[in-house]
Amino acid sequence: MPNNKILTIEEFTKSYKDVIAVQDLTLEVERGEIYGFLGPNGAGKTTTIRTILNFVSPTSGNISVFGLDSVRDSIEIKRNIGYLAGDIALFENMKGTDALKYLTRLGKKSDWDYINELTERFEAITDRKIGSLSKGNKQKIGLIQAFMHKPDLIILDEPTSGLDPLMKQVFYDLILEIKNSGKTVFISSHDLTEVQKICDRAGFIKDGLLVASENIKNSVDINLRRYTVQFLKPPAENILDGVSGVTEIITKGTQLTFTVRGEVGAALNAISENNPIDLQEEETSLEDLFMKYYE
Amino acid sequence: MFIWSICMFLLALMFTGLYESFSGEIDRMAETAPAALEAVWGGNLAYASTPEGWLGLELYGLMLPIVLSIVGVAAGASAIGNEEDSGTLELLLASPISRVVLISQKYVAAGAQIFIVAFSVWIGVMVGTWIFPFDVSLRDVLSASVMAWLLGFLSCSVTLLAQSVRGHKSVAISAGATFVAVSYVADILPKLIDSLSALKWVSVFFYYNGPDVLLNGIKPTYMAVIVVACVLIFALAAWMFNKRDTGT
Repeated sequence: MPNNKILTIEEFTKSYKDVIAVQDLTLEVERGEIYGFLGPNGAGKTTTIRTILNFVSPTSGNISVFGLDSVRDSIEIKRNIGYLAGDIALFENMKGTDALKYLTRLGKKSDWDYINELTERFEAITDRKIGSLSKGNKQKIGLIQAFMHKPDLIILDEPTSGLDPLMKQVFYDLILEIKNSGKTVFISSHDLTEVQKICDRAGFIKDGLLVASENIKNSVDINLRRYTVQFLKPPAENILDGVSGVTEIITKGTQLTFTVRGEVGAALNAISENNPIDLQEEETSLEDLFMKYYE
Repeated sequence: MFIWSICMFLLALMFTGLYESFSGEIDRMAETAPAALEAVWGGNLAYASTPEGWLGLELYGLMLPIVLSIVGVAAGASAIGNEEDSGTLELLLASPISRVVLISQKYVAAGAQIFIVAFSVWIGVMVGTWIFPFDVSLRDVLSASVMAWLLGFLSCSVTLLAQSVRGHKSVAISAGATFVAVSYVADILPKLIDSLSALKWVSVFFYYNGPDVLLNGIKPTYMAVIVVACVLIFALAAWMFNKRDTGT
């Protein structure tokens, strides 16, 4: 039976002297999944990615990719990984084509028809020295080198940084094609709208701790709504006490405002028992959900 | 590196051209030169009037070892230091290639750069023998160039080790430069102060001894000391680089 776990991180901790960059991180990514890895700067996203790629060693815990150990079997793993670093650095004195050829010679066996197709789709400039290109055009070459050998796992750190909206859409289409072909994508991003658009699941990391791992597309847990209810007379203060998922309860005269995360039925039942006369719902964005985790 | 090679080629050519003009004065200069000057020059003034002695006096006694030490430090710091500074090391390490292979290839490339500079001096002398009346054993000159290359390669190795341990080019350059400076002083002081004669054994310049190689050929033991030092230091550098966190 084939192992569907493409990436497994178990109780991974990385510390630098007294600073803990990532603590007890555990997560799994399955074959064919697009997993978003979200968090602010310094949360530990890049440290995690660098450890997956064996640029840094874990202080404790284990990371396995394709069932292989990320440290011991690093070379074997990298044959089948595409990687785009955040704020990517390329060989500035080389032309894009030469840089791609160079990386091919280093072991990323690539199909040049596919490279040409990617170049066309991204409208990448590969016949000029990389140093003379804009950030967006460098990013396109970075994306091409990550995809060019059709790896089973693609790890992307802020992949759409510097891309215009048109090119972002090209990237989203490509990611979905890759997913449909059974490949796995691990994306680190600040852009929650982007993650919502393309990811199946997302992990939220803060101060080195994974605070949540959510099914972006299907789970009701991702729902975060804020309600404002109007009553005929001031409601009891404990009207929503003990109701699951309810936070930020504010009572002002005959008006009650509260936030519900997840299923809303229990909260609405509690409200309905107190004769509400008006109910307004404000659907919150993933940004709000994200911020909520960071409180 | 190309500019260094051209400069050293022209310098070697110039030395072969100047020999005839200075040959009459070399003996007189050798008789009056103080011991300290001989120590700094690095050559053997007793043989200064011969073509081999003339080359050993300043070119192989002072200039070439210093230049190759500088080139070695620069090459050692750049080998992986340039990739670390520019951020492209991540791109290389994301490829299916081991760190040991990567640093080995960079080390060989650095060695080749140093060799080109050392070899350009030999080419310059060889061309000089065609143009000027300068009769010298090109085999011995090549031997001295090989020893100079090894000296530069050792400087490169020490610098690469520092880069592998710390990951900072400035630290690596400082370590390499300190190694060269301490070695140079450890070579000169014993020539001036008898009680410090044991100091010479720790100096790579002592084992290099280009002027002596020009006169008597390579001493295999001295050559082996530098080669073994290069191998051991590189092995340590590769081990450190393999276990060090990068990009932090």
